[in-house]
Amino acid sequence: MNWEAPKVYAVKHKDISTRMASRSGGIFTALSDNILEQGGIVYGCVLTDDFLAAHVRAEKAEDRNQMRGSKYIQSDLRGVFKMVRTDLDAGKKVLFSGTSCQVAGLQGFLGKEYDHLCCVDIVCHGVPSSNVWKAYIKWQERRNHSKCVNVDFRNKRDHGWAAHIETMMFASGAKVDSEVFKNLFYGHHILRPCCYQCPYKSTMHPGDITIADYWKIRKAAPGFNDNRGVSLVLLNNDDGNAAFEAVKEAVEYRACRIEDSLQTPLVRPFERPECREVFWKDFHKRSFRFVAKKYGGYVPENRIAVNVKKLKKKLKRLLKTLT
Amino acid sequence: MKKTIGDLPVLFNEKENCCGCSACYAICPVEAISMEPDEEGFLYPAVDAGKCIRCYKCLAVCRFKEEQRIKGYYSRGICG
Ligand SMILES: Cc1cc2nc3c(=O)[nH]c(=O)nc-3n(C[C@H](O)[C@H](O)[C@H](O)COP(=O)(O)OP(=O)(O)OC[C@H]3O[C@@H](n4cnc5c(N)ncnc54)[C@H](O)[C@@H]3O)c2cc1C
Ligand code: SF4
Ligand code: SF4
Repeated sequence: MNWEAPKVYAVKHKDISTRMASRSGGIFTALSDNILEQGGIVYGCVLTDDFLAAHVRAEKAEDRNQMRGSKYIQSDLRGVFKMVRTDLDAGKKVLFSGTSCQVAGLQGFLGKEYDHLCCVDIVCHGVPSSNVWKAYIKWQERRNHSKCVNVDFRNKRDHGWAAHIETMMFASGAKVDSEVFKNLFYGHHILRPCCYQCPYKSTMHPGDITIADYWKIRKAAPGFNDNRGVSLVLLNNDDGNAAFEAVKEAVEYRACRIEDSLQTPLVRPFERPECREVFWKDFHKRSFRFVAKKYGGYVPENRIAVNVKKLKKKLKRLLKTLT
Repeated sequence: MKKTIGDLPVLFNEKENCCGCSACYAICPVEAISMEPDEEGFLYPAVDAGKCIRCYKCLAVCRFKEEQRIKGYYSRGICG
């Protein structure tokens, strides 16, 4: 049974390389390390070879490490729930991580509580369309005349925790930073329709533990932020509490108040944009370049060049009048 | 004599009411449900009428619709 209100902590993994490889403060690695050390199994979302998101099973830390980092598209769960049940019935400890609706889905499927299952749900903005993501990668490949070999949905190493810039690496060696997919994501046209009516947009969640980026850290725990990532950790019941107690050695933490920790997805879902249908018509009928310009804040390079030229001319004129 | 068989389960009326968690797909005892992408690339369950034995386990397992109902989202005129 979940408590009436969660216990709230700000958490940073003590190992800085772990934290830099994680979306926020690395609490997922601390919790999953503890499971792996006991011979348990970790389930979570990885990026596949064709840059799509899917849930997989991990017995080893190196496989678990692929789950670190947020993939801002909906993850494919096919086949996974049955594997979880098989592991649980074999008496193995299991940690399952995913969006709140994925965790609730698993719990519904299992139909009973298992003492040796720990569910960790992530605070979720909503999940973007993988079709838009695929079209975006193709567009970037065309523009850069090279195959994409790696992506980071939110590059923290180069830009810090709070920034939101996606980075693509190409076979040619080129590395491209962009905010086009971020802008499409935050425009909300590309979210799954159910996300506008998500029932998990409150401080109450289906997981034993709920994790998020601690955006309100300055208010909740002044002095704790270093822009390298802090996790907001909500302990929702006795099991979650015990799982956190077991990893306290590996992390720095501060107890916080829920009132100081709120962000929109802990209060209500985002609204469905009125012109959602118009977006999808554009997406299906027009070029991706058009979509990127109209909805993704993309400004073609030649336009930038023209503007810079104009600005230079203006400056020259201005300097002349001054001298 | 013609065998009478119940209605095919309707897993969602509007796309808003399915999060694609795959619980119905996983619980089906005869693998009658597949998860198929729509034109936006999101997966939704599709029931194969030939395989389905009308046990309705897929309807009973769906937590998402249940929680939307509790929150009052499900009845917002969006769904029947
Ligand atoms: C689609 C999406 C929306 C998000 N929206 C918000 C938000 O609104 N506010 C906020 O504070 N944080 C959001 N997050 C990020 C979430 O806060 C972080 O996962 C959390 O901070 C984990 O911190 P960590 O340092 O322990 O992470 P990491 O070690 O980086 O752990 C990542 C965890 O996320 C899971 N994961 C990654 N991608 C997906 C996916 N596509 N589907 C399901 N699970 C996935 C992995 O299984 C893993 O458990 C979102 C993440 C995703 C994927
Ligand atoms: S916003 Fe809600 S319904 Fe949408 S993916 Fe996230 S948890 Fe699921
Ligand atoms: S269980 Fe419900 S929410 Fe999950 S995929 Fe099936 S119909 Fe959709």
